[in-house]
Amino acid sequence: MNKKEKIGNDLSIPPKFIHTVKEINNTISNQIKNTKELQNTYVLGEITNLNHSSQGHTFFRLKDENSMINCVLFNNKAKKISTTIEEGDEVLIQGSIDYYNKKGTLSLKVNNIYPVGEGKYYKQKEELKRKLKKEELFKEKHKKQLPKIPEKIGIVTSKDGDAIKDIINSIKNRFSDVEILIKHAAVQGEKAVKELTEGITYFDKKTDVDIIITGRGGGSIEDLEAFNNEKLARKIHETTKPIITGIGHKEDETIAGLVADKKTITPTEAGKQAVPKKEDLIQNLKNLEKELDEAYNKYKKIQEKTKKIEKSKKSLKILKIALILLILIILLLIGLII
Amino acid sequence: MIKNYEEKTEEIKQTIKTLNKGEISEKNAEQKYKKSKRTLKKIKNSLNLGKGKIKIVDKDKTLKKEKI
Repeated sequence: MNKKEKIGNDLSIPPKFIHTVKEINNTISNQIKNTKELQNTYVLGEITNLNHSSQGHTFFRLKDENSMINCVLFNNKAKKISTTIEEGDEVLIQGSIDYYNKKGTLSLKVNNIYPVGEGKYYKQKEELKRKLKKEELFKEKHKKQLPKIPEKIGIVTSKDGDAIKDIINSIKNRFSDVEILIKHAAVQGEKAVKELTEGITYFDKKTDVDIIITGRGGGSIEDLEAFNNEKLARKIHETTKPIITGIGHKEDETIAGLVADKKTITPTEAGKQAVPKKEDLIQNLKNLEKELDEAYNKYKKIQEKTKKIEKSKKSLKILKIALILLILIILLLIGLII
Repeated sequence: MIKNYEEKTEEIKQTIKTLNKGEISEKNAEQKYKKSKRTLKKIKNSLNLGKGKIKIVDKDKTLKKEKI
């Protein structure tokens, strides 16, 4: 009779209902492993008790109003996840429920983390910023020089927003002769990234524009999502023609702006940066012409003076010789008289 | 000409410097001066690009000039 049978007999409990700790933990573990919903699940919650181990594993708890669950992100998984987490972040965790038999603890093994809530867009942007910065996409060495006086400008923005009017007015107020080509693109929503990249590609590959401008008016970080998109950022980076961005308000920073050849704070400013003031150029040429005339007149005057001096020098030389001759004649005459 | 505005104006600035130094023959000075005057005229003319048209390159015909 084994121990379980003996105790069962003593307490009148059928032995099959008596388990060792190991047995019950194995039963729980097997139940969890065999429950499909627990092996690939998504859990929404807020991160708390965040802890990083020296081995590179991350431990935290995911909580909502009434419950909490332990989570573990092993270092081999962490390397594949681009999302960084902080205390208080609202996230959606994809993973599997794991039961640790030795200690009888349950935890959510993390496979992936998706930021959600208000911080989602900000986080995505910051992560992309870090990634592209590491690839040196924002470096000055990649910035193409803008032509001083573009003859043709391509604008990629929404036909319905104020940005298009602001850019055109800004260009026309400074240099009305410049030709402008417009390609409509949604600047927010599902189609935005596709249409913006298509517009930029069109002007880059199929036209002879000197500069491309893209932009939109201000908005929330969610509204500006397209301008923080990796595909658009890479398109701007690889474009052979210089690109100016004019996105949002003064305080808005976008990835598109960081990767562009020239980043401006508004669509109006983008127009200003694209072209010089024609009247300034004309004034500059007038000043240059005046300087040129003055320099040439000064040169001629100096030449005339130099000639006069040379002439005087010559006369003086002749006078000198004449004087010497006169003295010699006088001396000769005196000699003859004596 | 408009494309090399900077280059051409720089050439004129160099001519001004040379004339101010005076280290140039009269014949050369006159030639450089006249050449610079002609270049200035050409640059001025090149700034007049035309009417500055606004074209919409979309297939979307709802976008009309009046709306802009």
